[in-house]
Amino acid sequence: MTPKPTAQNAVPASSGLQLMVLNETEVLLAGSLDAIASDGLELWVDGQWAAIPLIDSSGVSTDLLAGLNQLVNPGFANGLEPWRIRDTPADIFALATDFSEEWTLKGGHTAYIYQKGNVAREAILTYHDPVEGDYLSVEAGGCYRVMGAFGLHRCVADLLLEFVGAELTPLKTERVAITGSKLGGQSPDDYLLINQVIRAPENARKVRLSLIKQPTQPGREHSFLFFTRVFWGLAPTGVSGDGMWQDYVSEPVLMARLRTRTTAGIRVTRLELPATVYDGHPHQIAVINRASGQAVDGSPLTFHSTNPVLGQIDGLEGSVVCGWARPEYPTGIPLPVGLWIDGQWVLSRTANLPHAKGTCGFRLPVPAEYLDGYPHVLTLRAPARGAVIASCCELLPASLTPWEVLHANTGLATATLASPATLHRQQSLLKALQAASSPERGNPEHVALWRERRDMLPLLHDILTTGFEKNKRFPPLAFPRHDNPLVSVIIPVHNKFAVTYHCLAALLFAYNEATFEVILVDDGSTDQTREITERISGLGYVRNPAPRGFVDACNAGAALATGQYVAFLNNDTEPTANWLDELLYVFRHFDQVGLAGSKLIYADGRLQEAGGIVWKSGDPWNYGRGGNARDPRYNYTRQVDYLSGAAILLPRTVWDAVGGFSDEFRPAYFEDTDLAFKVRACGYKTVYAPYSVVYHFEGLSSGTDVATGMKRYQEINRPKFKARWIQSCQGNGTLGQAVELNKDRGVFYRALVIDYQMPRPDRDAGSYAAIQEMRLLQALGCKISFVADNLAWLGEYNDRLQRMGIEVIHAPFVLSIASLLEQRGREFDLVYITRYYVARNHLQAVRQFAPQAKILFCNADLHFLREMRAAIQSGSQEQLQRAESIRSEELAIMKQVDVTLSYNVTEHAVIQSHNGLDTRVALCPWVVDAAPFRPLFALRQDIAFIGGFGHPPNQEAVLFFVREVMPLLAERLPEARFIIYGSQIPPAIEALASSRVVIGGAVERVSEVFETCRVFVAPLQSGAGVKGKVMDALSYGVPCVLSELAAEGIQLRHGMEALIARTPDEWVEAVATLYRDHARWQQISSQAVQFVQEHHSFERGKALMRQALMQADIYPPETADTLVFNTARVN
Amino acid sequence: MSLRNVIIHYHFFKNAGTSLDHSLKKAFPGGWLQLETDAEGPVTADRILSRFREQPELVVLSSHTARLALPRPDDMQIFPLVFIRHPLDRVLSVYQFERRQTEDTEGSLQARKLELPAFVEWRLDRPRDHSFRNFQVHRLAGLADDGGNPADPYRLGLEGLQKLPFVGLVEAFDQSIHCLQAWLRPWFAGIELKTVKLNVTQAEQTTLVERLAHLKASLGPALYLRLLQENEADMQLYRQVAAMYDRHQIPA
Repeated sequence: MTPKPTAQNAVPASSGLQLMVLNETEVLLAGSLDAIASDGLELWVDGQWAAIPLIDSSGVSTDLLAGLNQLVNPGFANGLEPWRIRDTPADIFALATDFSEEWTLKGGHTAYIYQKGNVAREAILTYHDPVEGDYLSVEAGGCYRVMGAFGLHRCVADLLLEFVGAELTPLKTERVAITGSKLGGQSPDDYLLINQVIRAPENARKVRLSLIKQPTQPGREHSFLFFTRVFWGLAPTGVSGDGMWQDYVSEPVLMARLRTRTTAGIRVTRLELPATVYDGHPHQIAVINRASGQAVDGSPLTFHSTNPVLGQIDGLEGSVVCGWARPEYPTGIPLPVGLWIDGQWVLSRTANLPHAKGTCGFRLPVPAEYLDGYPHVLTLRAPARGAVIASCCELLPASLTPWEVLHANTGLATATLASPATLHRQQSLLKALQAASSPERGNPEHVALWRERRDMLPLLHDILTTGFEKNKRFPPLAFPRHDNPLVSVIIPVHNKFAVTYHCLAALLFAYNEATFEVILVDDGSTDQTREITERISGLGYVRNPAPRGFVDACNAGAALATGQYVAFLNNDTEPTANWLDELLYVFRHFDQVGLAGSKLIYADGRLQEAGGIVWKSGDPWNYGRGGNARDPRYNYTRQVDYLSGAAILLPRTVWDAVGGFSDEFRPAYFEDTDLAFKVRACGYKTVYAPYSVVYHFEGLSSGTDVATGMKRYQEINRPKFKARWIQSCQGNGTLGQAVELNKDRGVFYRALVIDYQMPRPDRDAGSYAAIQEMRLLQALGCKISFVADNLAWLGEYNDRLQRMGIEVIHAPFVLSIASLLEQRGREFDLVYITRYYVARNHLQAVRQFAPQAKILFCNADLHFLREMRAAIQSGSQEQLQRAESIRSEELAIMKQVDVTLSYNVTEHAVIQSHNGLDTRVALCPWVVDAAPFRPLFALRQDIAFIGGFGHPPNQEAVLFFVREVMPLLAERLPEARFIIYGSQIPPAIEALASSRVVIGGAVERVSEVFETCRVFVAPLQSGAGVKGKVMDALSYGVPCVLSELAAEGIQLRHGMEALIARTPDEWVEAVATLYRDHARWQQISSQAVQFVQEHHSFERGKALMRQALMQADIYPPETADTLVFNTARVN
Repeated sequence: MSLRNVIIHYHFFKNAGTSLDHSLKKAFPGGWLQLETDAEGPVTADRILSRFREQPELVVLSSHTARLALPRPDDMQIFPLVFIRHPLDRVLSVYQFERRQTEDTEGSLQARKLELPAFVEWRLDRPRDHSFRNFQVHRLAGLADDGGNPADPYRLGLEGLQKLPFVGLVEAFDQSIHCLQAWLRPWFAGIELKTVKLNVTQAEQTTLVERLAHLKASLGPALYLRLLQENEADMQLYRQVAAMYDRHQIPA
């Protein structure tokens, strides 16, 4: 069976994009350079979103042609075209395809030349390219593969390759003899397979391909040459060519352009398809332009691979990639597989080793050049450029010696490289160096502190990497004295001087903004600890002559504390960069927090504890012990039942209010669990802060055997603890059951939020809005689990959300939203989906796996309205039709969900006029925090616009302003420039740059725009929704000049909170007034801030979101105990 | 009819005002005047306005003692100038200046008599003495709507500050002058402000960090801490303005 491309291949339009089948494994996208932007396209398979395609940014390369059959109609599905008989009277021969079923390749076609009788004439058949004609362009010196399947009856034949130079001067002729006893037939095995690599001469320009059927052998009559599956193309590196023949042929014009390199202005890129399409069934492949929602030309095309291959990469064993692969229907022949790393072919082997799946295992040694300790993409393919069987990302090790072994046996430098703590230490170093070189205007004390400490950092680093196990030298250390430290860090110690010394060095080394003092409580030590103040200055120190245990030691230390917060830190720890700042962050950003604790990890990087659970029985449980510290489950801020006393922080006032650690739990154990319960009993929250990371060398201080030593108090104190707190544990679940639900406390509802990507509030207003809606849901009692449609982990953007108390689920911990719903669907009370195309993808799975959940759908903006407006503006019939089709889809989604939220009341009317009672519409709140401080008039300059240019109305707005308004403004305000900020700025906008029009580009924080510009303009001419940029500008108190459309959906009054302009003259007047007149500027600025305080406050938003939830039959509690992040902007 | 454009420099004592005045004098030769509280009484807004009306050639009026206000007369457009500074960095400057003063003001007499710690204590111990206690916030609070008796001095100072079109920062003097010039230029065609520093009582080469360390060493930790606490609102205000200058980066 041969695959059949069904799409009509056509020449790519110079402006648009064209999708084509390239070969059996890939499709190809061609189009203008501008039109291909990697973040603007989506790949869809069978009407479902499949991937963000990876675009090869290098454009056209030799590699693109490699392995491609350059011949049109190579399987003779369309008769003999484009082969032509040359110099021969046709009547001597019969030329056609598919002589009879017996002599035709099954499922394909076979061409033939038949010679009647015996005439001493040869038949020359020449390939005549539809674009280039008889001569095909070649790479000078390139390696070409020529292939074909032949059957001979009473004659022989030759393949003739005539290479020519410039002006068709003959250079070299290659002749490949076709001789043998195969007659052709129905099976490929019936044919003689020709497969040769031929190098084009160094000065070759073109080649002519001919097939010569030699005359009938003497004394015989009626000769036949059967032939099929012809191939001509550049031979890819390291590939034998077996099984490389393919029926797919790219469009001849494009192929000719690739061959002749006349590809100026277009870019051609291969799109890799997901492995699921190689299952032997036909699939519809489409590429969608994300901004317009429109499919590119040629979409959808049918992709049908008839050669399904199954397999898997099991993983790495040392530096060998292991797994299995075989054809779906066993053929008895082991499958050759190729390993590709980062898109480059690496090696091929046969999958014929024993494996649990049968004799189809493979072991592929990774070559040295990739063993660098960094992540690489491994791709396993069927032979040649065959189907992708499996793909994964792996760290390819540069060393196979475990860290523990290195640490025990090598010097510092080697151990440093391999230690899990290295990244944390590097972070500290970097931040310390940055602080030390801060400008004068930074906090002078902080700058002074790090300048002073800079010289100590190498020594401290050595101490930490050496480790307390090996460290023998204890040079003096000095803690700075702060008159007014923010935190008092209390460390109780009993002997183990080297361990304590390590901890103190770590405290000095770990970068923190917070000022702190250290109070060491020496609990009856008998070792060098007694002289510790001689070696380490600046410590607060108190000593119990005889050991009295953790409780007394901590309470004694706290009595000496002068900080506003007290932290307790075990001495067998290594706190890391910002460990204190991250604990303090929790107090700053959530209300009513009384106690916070760090994430504790073992020296080998595994998780020790991520907050604790106390079950209904009163038994505590370390959550996450031994787990992967990077798993999202362990990495969002959440309320917990207790926090292990190894690293905790609480305000001095709370510590005093609860009376410190309870005496009943002397000498130790359960005192930290009890403390958390006491703190909550006082009305405070107890919170796990995952970004405060502390290595805990657990068990060093008191061993791990509960029957002996100090540890026996664990069992003595357990009943005391239960007796005291059992009542508070009633709702806490049964020991060991539903751990994942019981780990979250103070949660009334559970919400799954699905958006198209990870919110990046510094990039687009939609992200900002998504974050506000999550905060509002938090305030109404929800724990939020967030998942992005593409499941991508995005560094600091994930961190920000997780710090806010949002569980961010990402790959590879979950591999699809459907599987997430399948595993956890039952957990959610509501699913909040933003954007109709996201809803379209997941509604079915939500209803199937989370039937109990209500679906709230936020439309972001009414897509069809935006499209419709653009269509009306452009007058394009085609665009109008597209808008209509989006309309049906969008409105249909709204009928399937429980409540639709929209920011803009104008849109409500539109939705209801279509859907009537079938759709419940609610106003989606837009929350902004009014800026408390606004840079002054004279410290601002220029006129600004900001917007993501992936969104077409923004481009239109800027063009209007620059063309219509700026020329007039030049006379009125010669000093003012127009600055265009935003992401994805297209060349058309870049081209506007001049002395008065500045391309500011993307900004990290919108404050960079709103705190520096004097006037903000939003000259939008089309679009829909609420303009986040306008809301931002208002909240920063920047006076705005708006088009009527930009003001739509925000109840602004002209002349009060903003100026609204229509004609270019009105624009000039409004901008010039605000730019020059301080009094007017000041008035509009203050009123804008007042406006957002009144209409867009968090409280007002909460009331609106409550109404929306109630419409979906979800009744939020009057007062929720949930963690609610308390600022709109997240840093 | 176009309005007459005039500048009022509210010269906060020891906030680089002399350097600014020098620039302004150079920019407006013959158009500069200093006016202080004297026998005629305090420097009120009315007094300033009448002075401008009496002297048509006058462009800049500079005053240490004028109450900060934003008069909006019909015949003039007023450009008020204020500079602020790290409040503790002012302390040593004030002390050194007062010691060198030849006029026998109360402050100058005490400065000549007392060592720095005693001088600071003397200032802080006088309940209504604001020269070392949130001095700048106190001056700016006069602009706030409800004026006087501040429950939260920082808020009040901030509110006042927000009403101003311009604030300079001594620690970012050149940048401040640059902004000032850009703002004034449309009204004062061709204005060029030079950034010469005059009346500088502290060695130029020392950094703020070093000067504060020196101050702390001179005062001792307890008094230094008290000074910090007494200037908490001023410190917040200073940080805000410093942050504003940090952020004020003009795109190329």
